[in-house]
Formats: sequence, C-alpha cells, structure tokens
Amino acid sequence: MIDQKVSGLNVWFEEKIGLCGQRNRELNEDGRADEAVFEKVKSNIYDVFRTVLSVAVKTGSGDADAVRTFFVQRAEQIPAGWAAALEKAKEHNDIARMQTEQIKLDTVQEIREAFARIWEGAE
Amino acid sequence: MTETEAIRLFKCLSDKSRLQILKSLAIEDMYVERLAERLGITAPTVSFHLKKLADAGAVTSYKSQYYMMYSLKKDIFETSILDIIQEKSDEADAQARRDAVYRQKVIDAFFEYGKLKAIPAQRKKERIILEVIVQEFEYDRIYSEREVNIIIADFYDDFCTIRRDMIGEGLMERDTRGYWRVNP
Repeated sequence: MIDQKVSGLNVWFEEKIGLCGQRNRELNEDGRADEAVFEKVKSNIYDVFRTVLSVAVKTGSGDADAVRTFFVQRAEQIPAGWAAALEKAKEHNDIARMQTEQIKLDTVQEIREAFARIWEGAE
Repeated sequence: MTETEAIRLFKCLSDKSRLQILKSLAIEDMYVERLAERLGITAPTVSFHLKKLADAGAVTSYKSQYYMMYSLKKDIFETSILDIIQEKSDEADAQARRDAVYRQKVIDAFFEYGKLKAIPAQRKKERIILEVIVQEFEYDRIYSEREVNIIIADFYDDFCTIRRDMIGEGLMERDTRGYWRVNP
C-alpha cells in the first residue's frame, strides 16, 4: 500500500518536473527568458519535495503514518523562510523577489494538495 | 541616455512578454489586471515585467481612482538608435588611454633614434608612423616636392613611398602649386 502511494507521488512529481522543463524550453524559444526562469524555480521546488519524500520513506521504515508526518512537517517547515522572504520583499517593493517567493509558496501549496489527494486518498 | 541606461533598456526589451506589454500600452494606458487579461499571463507576472520596464525608464505609472495605471514613456522611444550610438561612451576615456598606449608601442617599435626602421605592413600601423612624420610639416604652408622629400628623408630613405602614402592617407594634399598639410 505504501509503495503504491510513494509510486503515485513520484509519478506526479515526474510529470510536473517534465512539464516545467517543457514550458521552460518553450518560453525560452519564445523569447520569454524571465518567465522561463519561473518554470525552473517551480521545477526546483518539485525536485526538493521529491527528495523530501524519498527521505521520509527511508526514515519511516515502512510506517505510512511516520512517512506522512515527516513529509507534512517538512512541507510546513521548509516554506517558512520563503514566507518571511516574501514579506521582506513586499516591504522593500522588490517585485522580482516577491514573484519568485510567491511562485515557491504556490508550488508548495500545490504539492501539499497533491500529497493529500494521492497519499490520503482525498480525491 | 547614458550607455548604462541604453544597455538596461535593450536588455529589458529583449523579452517577448515585455514587448507585448509595451505594444498594449502604445494603444492606451492600462492597469495590471487588464494587461494580464489581454496577454494571457498572470497579474503578478505582469507586475514583475512592469517593474523591469519602469526601472529601465520605459514605462511610468499614475493613480487613477482605484487603479494604478501604466503608460508608455514615449520620449524614450523617440530617441533613435543612432542617437544612442553617437552618445559619448562611458568607456571613451579608457579607450583613448588604450589607443595612446598602442600608438606609443607602434612608434617605439618602428622608430629608432628618430629614424624609421621600416614601413609597417599593417595599414593601421603605417598610419601611425605617417602621423608622426607629418608633424614635421607646418599647417597653411605650401611645400615644393623637393622640400617634402628632404623632410621625409630625415626619417626614411624611401621618401617617395612615404610621400605618396601621406597623400593616400589624406594627411597631405597636393596640386600644381605643391604640397600642404591637411588641417584635421
């Protein structure tokens, strides 16, 4: 059962990373380099949480609850710094930084929802 | 527009989304959500691009009721690319220093004790040595061919080649009256 959930999430991460790579190439070819970078940022976040999932699986040693707790905790802890960076960027009206931090936070929210759907069968 | 400003503007314009934003603003002033709707990109992405355009001096903003409106800074786009190229370079002084060092290197290599050792094969280098020799001629004075030959012979035996090349390089001119140094 746990293998099926991990496999489902890994497939989802692979698809997302693949889509980001495709969008990145398309945007670069279309002369939209900055938006291509945003896709790269998203791709990096998916990659970070794919790694978090593999660490959660390793440390959980087959215990589905332990894996879930580890992943959910990290999905709260890791973006805390990004939320703080977003607030700081807003204070300084740093639009470029705001955009990057917002993309990271939106992506992690999407990952949390996907995790809930795939892992906990909330679909 | 300074060189740095021009580089920032050109870098900023080399993006399709930003160009599309400018095209929209060329039609009329718009707010972020309207631009996002027109261009099919998110409002935060439009804000991101507008900030870059504003930093490059391409757009400006003003408040209108509840909206922050953006407009094209038309004066920037009325500047021709030729005007930008002809603007004095920030690098001009450094370039002038590098040119002076190069010039001195050529002079040191081809002159020994005031005599020309050989005529450089490279046109650029020959031009430099001709500019040194032509300094021996006064402005606004007509020289006979014999006078010209004598002056050049102090530098180099093949005065005919030097004389001809100084004419070819536009450093001296001649007519039936004789030769004279061209005013810069």
